[in-house]
Amino acid sequence: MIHFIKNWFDKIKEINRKYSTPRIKMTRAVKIALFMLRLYLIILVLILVYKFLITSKMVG
Amino acid sequence: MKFSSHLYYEYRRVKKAILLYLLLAGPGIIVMVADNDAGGITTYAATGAKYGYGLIWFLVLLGPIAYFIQEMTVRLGAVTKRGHAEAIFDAFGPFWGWFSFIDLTIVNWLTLVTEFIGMTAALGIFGVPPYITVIGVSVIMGIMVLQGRYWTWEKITLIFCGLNLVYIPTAFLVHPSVSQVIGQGIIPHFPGGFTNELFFFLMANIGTTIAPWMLFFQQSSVVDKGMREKDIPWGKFDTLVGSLFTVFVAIFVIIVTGTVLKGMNIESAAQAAQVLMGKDKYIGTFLAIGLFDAGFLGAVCISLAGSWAFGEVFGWAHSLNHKVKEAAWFYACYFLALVTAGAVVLIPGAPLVLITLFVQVIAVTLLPAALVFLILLLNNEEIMGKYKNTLLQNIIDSTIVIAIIILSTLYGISALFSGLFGG
Repeated sequence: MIHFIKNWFDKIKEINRKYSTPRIKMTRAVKIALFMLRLYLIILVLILVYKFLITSKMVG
Repeated sequence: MKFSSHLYYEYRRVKKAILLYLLLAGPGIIVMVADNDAGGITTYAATGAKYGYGLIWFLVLLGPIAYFIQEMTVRLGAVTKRGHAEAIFDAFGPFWGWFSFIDLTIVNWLTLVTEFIGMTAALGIFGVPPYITVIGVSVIMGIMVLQGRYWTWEKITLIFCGLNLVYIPTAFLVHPSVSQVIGQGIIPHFPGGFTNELFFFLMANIGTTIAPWMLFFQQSSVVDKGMREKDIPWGKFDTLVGSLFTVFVAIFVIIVTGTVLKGMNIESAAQAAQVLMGKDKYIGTFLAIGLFDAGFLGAVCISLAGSWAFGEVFGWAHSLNHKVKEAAWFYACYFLALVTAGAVVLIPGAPLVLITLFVQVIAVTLLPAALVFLILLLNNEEIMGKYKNTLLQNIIDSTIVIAIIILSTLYGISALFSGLFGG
């Protein structure tokens, strides 16, 4: 089992190494798009956390 | 003589073109028809029951939207020979790669559960126990992929796509007034005014038009089929035919429920089929068959989209042209997703409503990212060469992507905070 998990971690490390340098040229447009995407996901996570908290409060 | 030889030449040319299309047809039609999955049919059935024919014009608009998004995956797949998951890893690095991959795996699995919910509910109308449905579907889907050829899998799936046309005879059985369908359905208007509830229905219809798995599925499918750059025009035509197909099916579902169930609040397509069964057993039966087929096609495509993504990212053999022993992990992923999703539906008291709700919420975390990556990749000259987006394509695609992101996000939020838009 430990061997199996270790193999998986090694595989993930190998994938991270393989793709460590993004191929796409980081132009201004790409940087802005990725920044907006991060912002969008953060806001979405905050909404989900808020929903979770008010639901827990109601159940409690 | 000259005329007849010209006619014969034209006949041969058209025949050759049709044969070539039949050879290359597949990914576009399959993804578009599968887009009308169990959730999609439920949305259309509920829309028809609520607003009659009043929103048919809106569904017509969704056809081009789906086409413009999906044709980008054809170009990207044919040029890079990579699936969407691998393309994201390669272009944007491990952070966005893992984010998309893990999100896709979760969304796909949850959506797969909803397809099983649809299929078991549809066959439940005929008295088939859920476990028989789950086992039967898993066996059929297993046979479809294990025969070892992409081409055979694709043609079998196209037969199931044809079954989706069952809604057309069903619509004729309900004897709709053609003048009313045209009069109320074609001219853009908001039946009953632009209310919160109507806005919710519009968002739900947009939400079912583009799902994250569709991008991943079609691109991987194009790669597995072995389409090359010269096949792009045919791939685009295939996608166009598929988008027309999907709009037709959606319109006919609306005509059925808009004629017979107008004014009713429909929670699911299975409920609509059940009610219709009481009115006319043929109409109810056809609707139930259509729902089962929709769920089946959705399950076929979603489970494959996930397995292809696993294969691409982990570097395993991941083609339907491989035998089981050559691509064991690829097929293992396929069956694992299928069996676990099917098993969830069989668990007594499983939170199926919560799962359905969760799909909408999780999908909005992945869809914007997948769409933005698609646009960025299609604008990269180094990757796309002469197939990169033109200015006109960028204007159209970016407008569609921004609209989809806004509306699908609002739809996801409305699923979290029910009543926000009257849904």
